[in-house]
Amino acid sequence: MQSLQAAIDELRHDEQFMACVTRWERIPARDGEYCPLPADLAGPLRDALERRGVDRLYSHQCASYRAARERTSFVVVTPTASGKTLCYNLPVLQRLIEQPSARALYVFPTKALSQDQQAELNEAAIAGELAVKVVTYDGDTAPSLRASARETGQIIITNPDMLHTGILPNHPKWIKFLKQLEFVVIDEIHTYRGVFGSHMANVVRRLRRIARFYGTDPTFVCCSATIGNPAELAERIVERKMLLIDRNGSPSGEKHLILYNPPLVDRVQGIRRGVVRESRRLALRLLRSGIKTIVFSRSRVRTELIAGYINRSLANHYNDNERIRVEAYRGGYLPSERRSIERGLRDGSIHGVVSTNALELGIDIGGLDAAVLGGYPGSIASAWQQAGRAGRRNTVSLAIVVASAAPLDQFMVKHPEYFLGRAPESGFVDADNPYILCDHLKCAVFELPFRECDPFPESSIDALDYLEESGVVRNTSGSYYWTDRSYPAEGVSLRSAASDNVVIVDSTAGRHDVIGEMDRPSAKEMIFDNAIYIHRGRQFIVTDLDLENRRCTVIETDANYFTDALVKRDIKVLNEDQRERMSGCDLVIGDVLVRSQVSKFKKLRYETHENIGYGDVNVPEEQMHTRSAILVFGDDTDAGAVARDLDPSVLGPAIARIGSLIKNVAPVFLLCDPGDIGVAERLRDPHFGCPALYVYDSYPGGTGLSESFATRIDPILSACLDLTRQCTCAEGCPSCVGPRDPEEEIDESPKAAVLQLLDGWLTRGR
Amino acid sequence: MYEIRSDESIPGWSRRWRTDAFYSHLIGREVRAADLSFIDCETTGLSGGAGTLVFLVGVGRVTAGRIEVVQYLLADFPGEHDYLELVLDRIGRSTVWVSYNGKAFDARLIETRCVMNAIAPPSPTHIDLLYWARRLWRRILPDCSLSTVESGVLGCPRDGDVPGIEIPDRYFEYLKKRDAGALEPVVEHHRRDIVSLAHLFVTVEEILAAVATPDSETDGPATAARRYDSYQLGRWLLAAGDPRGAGLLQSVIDRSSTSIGAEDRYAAAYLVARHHRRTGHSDLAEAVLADVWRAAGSSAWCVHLVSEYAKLLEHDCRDPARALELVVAARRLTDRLTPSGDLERREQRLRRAVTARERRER
Repeated sequence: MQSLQAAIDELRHDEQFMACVTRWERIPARDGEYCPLPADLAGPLRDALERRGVDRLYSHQCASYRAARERTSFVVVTPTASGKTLCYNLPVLQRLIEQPSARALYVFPTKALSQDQQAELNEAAIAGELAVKVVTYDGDTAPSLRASARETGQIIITNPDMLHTGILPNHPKWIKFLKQLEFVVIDEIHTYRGVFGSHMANVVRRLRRIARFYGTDPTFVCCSATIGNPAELAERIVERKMLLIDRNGSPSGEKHLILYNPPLVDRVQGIRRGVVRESRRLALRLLRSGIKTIVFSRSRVRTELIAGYINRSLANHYNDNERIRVEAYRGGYLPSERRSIERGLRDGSIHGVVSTNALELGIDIGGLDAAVLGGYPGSIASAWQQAGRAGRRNTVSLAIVVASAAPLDQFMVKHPEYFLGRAPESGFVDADNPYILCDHLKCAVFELPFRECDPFPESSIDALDYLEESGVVRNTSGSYYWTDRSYPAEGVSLRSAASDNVVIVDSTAGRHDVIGEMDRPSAKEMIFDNAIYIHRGRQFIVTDLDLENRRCTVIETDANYFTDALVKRDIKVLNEDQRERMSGCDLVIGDVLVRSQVSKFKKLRYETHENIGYGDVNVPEEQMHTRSAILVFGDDTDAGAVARDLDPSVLGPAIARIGSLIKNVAPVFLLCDPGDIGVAERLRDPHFGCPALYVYDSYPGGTGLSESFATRIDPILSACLDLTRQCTCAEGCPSCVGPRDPEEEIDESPKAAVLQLLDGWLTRGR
Repeated sequence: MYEIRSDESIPGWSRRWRTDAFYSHLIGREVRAADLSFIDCETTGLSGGAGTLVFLVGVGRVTAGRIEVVQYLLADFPGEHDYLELVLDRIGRSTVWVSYNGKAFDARLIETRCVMNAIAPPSPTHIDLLYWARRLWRRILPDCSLSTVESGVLGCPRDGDVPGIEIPDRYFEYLKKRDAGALEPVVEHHRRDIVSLAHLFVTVEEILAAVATPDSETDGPATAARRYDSYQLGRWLLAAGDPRGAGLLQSVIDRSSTSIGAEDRYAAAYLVARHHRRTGHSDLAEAVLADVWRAAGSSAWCVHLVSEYAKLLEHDCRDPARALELVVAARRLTDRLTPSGDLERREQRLRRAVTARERRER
């Protein structure tokens, strides 16, 4: 078993490897910044910590403790493995010892994380030794336990959805808890951005309003991963001034970050070795030297493939008991499987793991020494997150980013200064989005009659008057009351995806075992009839996908290929509500139908990934009705005129890239997340008969973003133009129009093409 | 707030209780009619959440065989605090509440409304007749909603009653337009609910009284005609420690005609026999078991009955040989249909016990 340092030295002397390396960044080790355990820490708590080997704190844990004790709300930015949990557990437990009637609420973004936390709090002798009652309160909590949780739970662990539909609308049952609520912990606050963040901000508004009703004003403790604007985001979610604690006091060993571009196999056509193969080669090299490695891959199928290939290679070489154990990990595994893999990583019985971004954050998986990123994960923040999974306190660590053939990856690997110099993305939230605000106002009125003096935004009164007209609310004697027999929270979903998963059942040889699950839209693309489904290395073939009953039946198989579906996406106008001449084009707002249809699949041989056949797929298309703003390049518009002058082979990519620009720029104006809007371009749109660019809400029914976009179209388009002009890149980069794509046939650079169109169009009218 | 008063006679009441004070089997002690409050609420929704309000509270009180119902209507939301205080005051703090599903719903909702208005919620003794209706009629009636019980048991179905689902919207209409017409059917529906509560109370008391004193003359023809689930009632009483449950279960065993559940006889025999053994009356237990176990041959209860009987023979009568004979015969009867590992093990154990005893006696 080699040490990692030896492996690193070996790589550095490997000529073939180094020929593909575009950057080798050495980040020096960092000493920890410590401070002693707080003087006012209660004896039993101090003992419990010391028994777990904790006899001093990191500086950020101290700062968190102090802020919490002073009742200052704060957000602490913590990369992984920096003792985040102690930042909130320590002051909360201390307070509960001093005052057992005090209460704390912990909110985690998903149920899986909540259950991990409860396990940690309970198992970790701390809470057990101190007799603090910790209860998870979510959809799975048995009814018989709910009453006792409300009455005597001192720390309640929950998630935003349960808070929204279960706890807040039933707040009188929680009176004992709410009257004593002193702390609210919001973990992973960076996940609350865009539309989801806007929902969360409103849930927090309702929580604070109810707390005020019972006479409390809890301190908010937020934990965030590294993003561009943690303090701003936290302040938008909680609507209070937040102290920012972002100086990380935990020590870290020296980190090596390598950007690696697989070698060319065909110089003429510019084809490189595939990312799957390269990631697996590098990972095997590290694993065989005894180095604990995590491989991140971009899709579930690739995760299974890479893990399968690695295990096959290892099986050929190691027949003794010191087998190197490598597991795959992704959403869709049973919770018990995921827990056991996490445990195996923590206790060291699992030496390597291949994962989707499911293991990027949150879950404690002990210390791994090396990370191989199979492809750029799509954001700077994610890339650093994933790379950060390698490394423990004082030892050296290695992260290798392997570029795929995708233009974005190629750009990143060829411009390392861009990657290294770029700040992580910022998160935006618009808590006053009228659609979202209105939904939550209904819930708020149900919870407590709404008075004019209620500290909700001023626009709330208009929304309430609108609700009164539709009969669900009544305004009398200065308050608005709920006058409908329905339960409003049930009709408001915080998340866009419907969470009705398809269950995967193994029916080989008469069995009936549930082996996994998958969300419905992905199921249509991945586990259609005759698809190959790989689960932790075992192969199955799908015999029947029953979407209505949400079941997929599979039987074991041993094929020499895997399957990949071809998905066609389409957007269709259902009706136009508005059409106006604006900004040099026709701006249309209306309802659209966004469709994705799987019609065929490819059979790809393992290892070589060559295409060995096709098959048909018969699944209904996935449909989403939503709202869209459409920029139509009508014949008599400026945009249309400029477009006519461009060669069609250039016009298509140019419009598409304007779409990418909008996707990058609009979130700043609309205060949403790039994922909240979708763009689609048409060279010759069937409905309009000319070029068109769609900007739509990626939520069924729309959430007001298209309308908002339409009112801000001038500043957004100007910002797009400025961004492109001022960008220091030569031909185009991910921050502006996107990097050059060899598949497009543009002779000039993409940037020039876009400027020709955009500049021409916007300056023509002036 | 508005008060609507009405009264009508409860024939069953005056037939049953001549004086104002009487022994209530439901409450388990002597009570006066005036101490009972028959309570029902109409609400703006079905959830117990913070946005559901009680807009109509009705209280019925019986004096001299007549029930006076007072219904309190909330005129508008802002008046809720005073409304609640007044209503709770009128109900009084020391009465016994009688309701239908009130324990899970009405009382919880009133508690919530009190919390929202900073009023101390009441915590009265509460008899919820829904639980009794389930015990007595769940297997006889299609469901245990009050209207089903009214038509199926009390024999007084309603026509032209307003459907429950419309009630909240009628109240909201009334708030907007102040047209009492929209609300009249709701008030009438609510009033009838409370009157039915009183009728139901009498009926259940009569059944319980009949069980308590089976030869009593106070049972008129009305009681005899009422069907109820003797097995479920007997089982519940026995489990609650009331030995009269055994008598009721015995009547189930004795009945020659089929009960509601085909296996009630066997189940009842098992429970009665077990009860007799526990109270030291093995002879009575044996009488029941000897009679029934063979007939239960094709039922899953056979194994339980035989096991109980074998235990009785082995331990109470100290006769393992007879127990063994029984088990062997039982296995011959049942193994074809439902082979039982229990009986097999018992037989083996008994064989060993018998052999051991024989050895000792030599």
